[in-house]
Amino acid sequence: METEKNTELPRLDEVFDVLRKGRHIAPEDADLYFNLHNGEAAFTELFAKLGFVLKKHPRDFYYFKGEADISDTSSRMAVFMFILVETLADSGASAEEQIMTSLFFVDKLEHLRRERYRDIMLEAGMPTEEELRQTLRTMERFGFLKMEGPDSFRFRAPAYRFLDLCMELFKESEAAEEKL
Amino acid sequence: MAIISPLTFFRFAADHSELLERLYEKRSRIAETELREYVLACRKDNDPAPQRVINQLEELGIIEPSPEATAAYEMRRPVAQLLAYLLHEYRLTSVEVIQAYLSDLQKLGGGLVKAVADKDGAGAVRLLADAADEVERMRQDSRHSREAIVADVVKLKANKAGLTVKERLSRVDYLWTRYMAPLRDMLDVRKEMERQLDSLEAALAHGEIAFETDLAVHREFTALRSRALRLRREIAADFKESIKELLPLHNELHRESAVSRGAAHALELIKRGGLHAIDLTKRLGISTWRAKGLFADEAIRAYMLGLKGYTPKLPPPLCAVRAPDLASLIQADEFNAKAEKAVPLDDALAWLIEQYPQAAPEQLLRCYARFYYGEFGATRFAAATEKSYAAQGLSFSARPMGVEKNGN
Repeated sequence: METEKNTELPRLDEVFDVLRKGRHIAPEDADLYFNLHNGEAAFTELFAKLGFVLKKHPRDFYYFKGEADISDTSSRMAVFMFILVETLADSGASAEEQIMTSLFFVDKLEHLRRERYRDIMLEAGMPTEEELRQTLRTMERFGFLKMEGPDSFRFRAPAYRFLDLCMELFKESEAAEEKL
Repeated sequence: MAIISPLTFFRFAADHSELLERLYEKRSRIAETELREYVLACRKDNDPAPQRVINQLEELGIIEPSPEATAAYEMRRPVAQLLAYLLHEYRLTSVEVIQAYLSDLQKLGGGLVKAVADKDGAGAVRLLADAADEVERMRQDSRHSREAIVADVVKLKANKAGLTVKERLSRVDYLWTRYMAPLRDMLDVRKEMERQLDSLEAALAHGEIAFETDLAVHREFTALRSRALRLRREIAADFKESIKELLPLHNELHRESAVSRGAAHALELIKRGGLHAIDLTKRLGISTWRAKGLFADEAIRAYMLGLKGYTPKLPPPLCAVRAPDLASLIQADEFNAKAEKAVPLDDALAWLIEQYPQAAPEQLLRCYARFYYGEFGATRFAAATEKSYAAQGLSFSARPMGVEKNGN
């Protein structure tokens, strides 16, 4: 029985365990990703029977679509990304390109430097660098970024979910303006 | 302006190429002081005095006084065009200019039709030369537009000037709406250019047949047909290449702009309405499923081991039959006899407790009630203060109640 299961869906327990905890599996996750990628249809079908929706993003990563209430965590991560996108755009850089290619240093982030951002960080429960670092650790746990050292990090493909969210909000604001 | 010898012009240009490039970069409204600074900055050891160089620039028709300001110059247009060509910096040709070319070609085509009908070979050759000139200018402008768009796209991609996404998007949108979209309309939608060139080619084909025997004129018709064909091919290629360069950047910047504007919009919403203004949890939908109420493997194993050696015991009886406690009861007949003998009493309750020390409190109270309702004689309460009585672990408080003997 065990042999049969492993042949069909290798590392099923490990894949399931990380996905249910909210992690996004990207090509950098090597074995896990390739097992999931190769058996995508079977995994999707099995997870669907268990009540989980396995999503594949166009940028080639997988995650479970969840609805659980973790508002603080989601909000903190999203606020962190919104501010990062805005500061990059203000500097003239391509936010998307920078996010996907650059190495970021915690002490260079604008989040707690500008007053306007400090207010929003406070609202999101990240008034100090400690909370900001905690958010980065959470984002690493979910697979959105990888800490390259204690003070630097690099984003992974799943960070596109936040860029998609920005697009979604932009479209909504455009639609609302059109209605007016 | 005096006649300029090409040799003198190009010798001067060779000696002062750096200065010419600087002037070309500035092109319009070069203040006299600025001009002097440029000349001094590019000066070599054996160069004449700066004022002499400035005079030469004017004499050779490289610069001329600016019409809009005193003590200011601008580069003359033919020289600027030459430098643009040499530096591969081309200007974009607007659709209006292309339409003017097409309009000219239409007129020239009409003239050719007439010349062919009149068998006017000499007139046809003149018209063919003019038309060839128009076709070539159109072809060059199309190529220059393509080069200009490619150069702009490269510059915008490199973004050495540090322009914001919004600024770059505005430039791309300008290129798109001012040049590419109207050109696309002309080429693909209305097919205006195709119609004009078709009409010209038809005139040329007639001319070739009409002047079949006049080889010199025939050759000119054939040459223009070839030029028109090349123009058609190259304009389409230039347009496709320009689109290929511009469209990805156009789309990328639109996406970039949407992303950054979306982020700014989100921050604005949060600032105004707090985090609840955007339902980020639902939008992101990050899974955080946790098992609740499930046994750990070890707990299940321990439980199963317990079940394995389990021997059921007899259930306890629903209730045990107990012998009645007769001591707690007061027999009615016995009480009647005792009470009748005992009256008169000063304190009925004290007497009851004394006579029935084992009796249950409710039994004592029942008998006390019989005294109270006068069954054994009239009752009276002492004026004294309340007294405490103890019976079976309980404590009663009452004023002592006396009972008189009936008939007294």
